[in-house]
Amino acid sequence: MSASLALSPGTLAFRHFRRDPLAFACALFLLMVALIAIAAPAIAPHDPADADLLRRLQPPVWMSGGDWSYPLGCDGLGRDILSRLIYGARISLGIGVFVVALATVIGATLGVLAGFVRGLPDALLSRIADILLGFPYLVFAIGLMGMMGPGLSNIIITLVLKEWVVAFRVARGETLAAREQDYVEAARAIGCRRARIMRDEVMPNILSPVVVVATIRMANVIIMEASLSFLGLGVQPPAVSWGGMVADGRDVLAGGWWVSTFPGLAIMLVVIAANLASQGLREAFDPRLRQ
Amino acid sequence: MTAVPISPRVQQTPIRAAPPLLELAHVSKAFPARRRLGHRRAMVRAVDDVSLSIGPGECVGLIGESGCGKSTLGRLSLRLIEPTSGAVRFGGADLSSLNPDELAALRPRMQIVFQDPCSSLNPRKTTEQIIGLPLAVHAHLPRTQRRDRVIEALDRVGLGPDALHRYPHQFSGGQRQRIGIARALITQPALVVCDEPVSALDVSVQAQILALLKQLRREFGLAYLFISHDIAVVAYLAERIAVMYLGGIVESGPARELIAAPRHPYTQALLAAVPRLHAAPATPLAGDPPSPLAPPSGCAFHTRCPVAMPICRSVRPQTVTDATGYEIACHLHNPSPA
Amino acid sequence: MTPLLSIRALRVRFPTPAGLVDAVNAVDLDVFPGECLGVVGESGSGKSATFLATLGLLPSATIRTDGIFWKGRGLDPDALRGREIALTLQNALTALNPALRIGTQIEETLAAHDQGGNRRDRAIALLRRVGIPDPARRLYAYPHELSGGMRQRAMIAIALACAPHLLIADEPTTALDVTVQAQVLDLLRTLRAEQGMSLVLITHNLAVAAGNCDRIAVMYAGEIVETGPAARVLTTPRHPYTTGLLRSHPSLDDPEAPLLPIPGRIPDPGAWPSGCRFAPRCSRHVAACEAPQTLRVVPDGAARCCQAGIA
Repeated sequence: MSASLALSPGTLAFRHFRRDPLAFACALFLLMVALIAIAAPAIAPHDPADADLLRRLQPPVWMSGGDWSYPLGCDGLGRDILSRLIYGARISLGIGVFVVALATVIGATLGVLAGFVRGLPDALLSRIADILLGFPYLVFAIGLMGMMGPGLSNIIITLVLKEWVVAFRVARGETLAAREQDYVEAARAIGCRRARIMRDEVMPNILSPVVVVATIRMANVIIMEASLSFLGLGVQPPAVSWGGMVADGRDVLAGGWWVSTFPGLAIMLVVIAANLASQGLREAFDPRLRQ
Repeated sequence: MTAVPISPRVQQTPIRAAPPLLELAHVSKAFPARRRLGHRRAMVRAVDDVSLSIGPGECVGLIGESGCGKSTLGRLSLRLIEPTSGAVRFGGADLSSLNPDELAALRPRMQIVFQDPCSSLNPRKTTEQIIGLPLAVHAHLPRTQRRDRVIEALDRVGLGPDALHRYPHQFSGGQRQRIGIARALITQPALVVCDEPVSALDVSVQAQILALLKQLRREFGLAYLFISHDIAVVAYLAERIAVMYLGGIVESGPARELIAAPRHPYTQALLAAVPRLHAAPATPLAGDPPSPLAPPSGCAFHTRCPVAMPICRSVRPQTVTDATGYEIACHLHNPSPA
Repeated sequence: MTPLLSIRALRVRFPTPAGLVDAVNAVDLDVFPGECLGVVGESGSGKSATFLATLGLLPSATIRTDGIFWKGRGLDPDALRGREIALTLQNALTALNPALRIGTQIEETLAAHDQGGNRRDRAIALLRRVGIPDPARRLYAYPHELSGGMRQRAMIAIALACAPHLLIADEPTTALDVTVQAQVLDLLRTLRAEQGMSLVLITHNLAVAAGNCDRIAVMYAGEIVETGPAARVLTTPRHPYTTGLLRSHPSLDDPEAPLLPIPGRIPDPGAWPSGCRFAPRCSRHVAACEAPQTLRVVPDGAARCCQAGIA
């Protein structure tokens, strides 16, 4: 018998993940951004809504005219870019995580149900999913937001409505495979009811691919939110979003490049990190899954 | 768990006299085949009009090659799949007449051991959770008592308590099979369906598991439906053997008699084909096993039978039972009235 | 008589995340012209790795040997593979290319070794030789359209394309039904008789080796533990592992004879015990077993046991 410790497949996957330096570093980076977002009131040097036209388009500290109290410069209304960046992380990362989490819970549950029970529930849910997938993402989002009006809860509803289908498909596919396994039949032979089998036998085994896909989708959701905010359909002032910040700087790109560039950079780094971390996750889970 | 030894008196009584524990009466199962454009939906008759009974404490072996339907029959016996026609009776009760609650209540008495040690255990659960599941579902015991019963079950199959917290991937194939057996036995079943339990194991491990199965049967008076393609393995454990070919039972009788003097030409060919340690190989049976999608007319075996007669091509032989309970379905042995 | 194939002190190691794993250790083997050698072992015994390494089919492994000789001269795997030495694998469904027709795969082999003559006709003749009915039509079949037995025969046909002197059959019957197994083994016996070809039959089933082989080599944990004429090995084994294997085999001749399983389990590859690799499971374990064992010559063969030769 190998090691005398209990080695759950989860522990093994984590150890494997740790050994991939790039993926692990990206995961740590995302964790750091999350912590900064949570601690925003304590960390941000200024109130993000504090406008002062005297500081209008003040350049970052390393250019002439900049100073250390506003290290990344100020935007067209004189608001501190750095503080807005920090508070913006709350919205952008927060929406990314929350939307994906909610969509995954809904989608995965429905996916397991559809894949396990088959028949009418599966046919119904799959058709609904197909129809939703048929809408192009941005057009759908703009249309829905246009109807409902801008705002945080409306963004979340719109994005969840599109995202649950992804989790649904992955969960359903994995469930179709898992239900053919002998251990599921063993549970039936023992006399377990379907609900119990779905919860205890199938769910734990489909979680890995679902989690990997969720992490990948987070990057997409962050970009979608940024796009909507850029178009003015996202969160409204005084709430700060990176996408909105990019929109603010659109007209002053020549004279105040820092207004759009820093939030754009932030979006890019977070999205790249999410992609790389999710790739590492997929590899960490894969060899274990094969067992 | 109290041991129920098989008393010498019971051994002397012909097993057939006791009321059967499991009874399959004219059971058939057909699966829809893949639909091809333009063709009518074909049906594959995996099991075709099979009747079989197992008495309490009896070990019946089911042998046959791939596609003969033996695994399907095993699952039909536990109502893990529904028969297309025919009746399955366990302890006198017709399984199809039971509602889900009654069926669930009956499950602890009939269990199954699977072939593949890798897929028969949930990779995300610990041994304790796996073996303890039947108790969690049926017996409402506090966790500590459940754990004690699991440790007892592990001990019965030769594993120690340190296995409790480990996951399946930390065990070898033979050990996983033991865990599967412990899970099947923890509810003290009367019948255990063993579906190729040793086929995926190395030879030396096979022997350990077979010896374990034999010992457990003796100790607890279990009845087995032992399914395997390996005749020597079945002969070691079984008191009666039934031979399946393309969904039907062609011959069935006491193990010793069937092995020493097989009557059906297929059984004869099957036994002749088994490689022997101390005998030269015999001339093999010609031809390929027919596909269940396109079964031959009349007797399913006639395309490969060395002694096929004209009647075998057109008429399916009936199963005839003689006075000792020996069954055979072959025109050679049951000349139909002229 | 000069052996056809001669392997001396073969050692094969595989790189794994945990380091180099010893798969085959100090294997000495001879295959003589016209004979059938059975190589019997369970998982982890190294029986397949030995021959894959010999044929140069393990690029990632570290292979060290005192010499591998073919007909007395150094063996060049690339020149001989497919031509004078052929290999068939266990699972014909994965060994054959699922996207190519059988005929194409046979002709591919013929073309690779520059065999003259009409390749299509030769392919048909090969299929007929291995007992595939209606060979002209089967030439155009895909592997998945054939039954298991037919696929195995097709694989044998590809192996025979260049009339090899030695055929290495790796578990040719394991994935097949009993009656089909018997057919394939019968085919191999017939081909040997017709061509005078040598055959190495790798199997985990002692009984398969019993009925088909002249000599048997038993492998355990990457080493050869016993060799000798088949009849002698089966009736008077000299290594406790061989004895154990024989006793753990249910036999149709005496179905109710008690099975005496070998206690314990096969160690994981790489975690071999120091000293005799079988010692932890051996009923005849003595102090001398702590030291690594060498292959000792016994009457009629060899055995890797410190007590070989002792009754």
